[in-house]
Amino acid sequence: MSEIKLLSSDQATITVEKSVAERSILIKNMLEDVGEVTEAIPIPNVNENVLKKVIEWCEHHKGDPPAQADDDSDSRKKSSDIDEWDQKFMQVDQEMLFEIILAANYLDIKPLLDVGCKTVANMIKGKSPEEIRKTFNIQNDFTPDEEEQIRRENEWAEESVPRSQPLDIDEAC
Amino acid sequence: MISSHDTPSNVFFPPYLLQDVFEHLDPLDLVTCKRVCTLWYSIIWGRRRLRQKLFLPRAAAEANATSHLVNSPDEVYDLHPVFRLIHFDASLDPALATFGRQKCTLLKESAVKEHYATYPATTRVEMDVVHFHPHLVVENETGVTVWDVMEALAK
Repeated sequence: MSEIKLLSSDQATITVEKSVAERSILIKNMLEDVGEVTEAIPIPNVNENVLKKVIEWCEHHKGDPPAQADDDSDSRKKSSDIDEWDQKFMQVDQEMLFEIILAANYLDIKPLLDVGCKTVANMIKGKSPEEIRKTFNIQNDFTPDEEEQIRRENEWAEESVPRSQPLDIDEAC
Repeated sequence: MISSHDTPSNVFFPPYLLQDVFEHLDPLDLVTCKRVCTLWYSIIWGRRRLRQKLFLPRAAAEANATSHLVNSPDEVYDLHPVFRLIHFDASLDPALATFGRQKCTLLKESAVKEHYATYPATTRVEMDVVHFHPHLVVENETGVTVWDVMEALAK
């Protein structure tokens, strides 16, 4: 099994199985372009901790079938379906979570990017705007006029039953 | 969800990745996200696919010749959640129709399912709603939103 070396942004060298590293389309294309490499491949945007984490994910998923050619199907969009291992994998602090997403984007690892985005989506679901701002440390920068306008736009969706409760029309009648 | 995510991060999260996050949300959560800050608001309105989620989706099976709305016949969408939220009480004046989550809806079984729009986004929606609104036409040159329909219904 051939191995390659990756050089993180903080100059750490990590040895990894070629087939694992090739989960990254960026690295795969690079290897195809240059052929055999003996030196470490620099990954200037990703530090050692994050790179190790990403490799851990690639190792676990190395047997996965290749991603469907850019499918827009609904199945890919359902956020609840993060597999158990991935859920555990994503139990990291918010900073690491974002770093993993950025690395997956940079390294072009679509399934990992998806898992990351789904995890963030799950952090948003069912929360109020204020709770979301608190979670992500976002300033509310709307003017009062804008807020009023948006409140009107959103009136149809205003809460009158708890979000967690499934909407059952027949029962509600 | 996971407590360790609760400490805000200082890592800059670029807007183009936020779009990917929003793709995983349903319309009700998207509406909430629009209220978070101006950046999130503009991302949601700037992305066609997200905007369409907040419009009225449409079920393919109901495509028919009388509808001139542009649609791909192969696409199937669920009834937009907003239609499950509308309460019409036929005994009341139609102007008093209220929109609330806990209320029931006549629309669920009504003809609206055959005629509602719009996916892809369109500037004109025609639908047969209930008896006191036999034929509703909503037009808006920047695209008909759920809210436009709500307003038209309430008139």
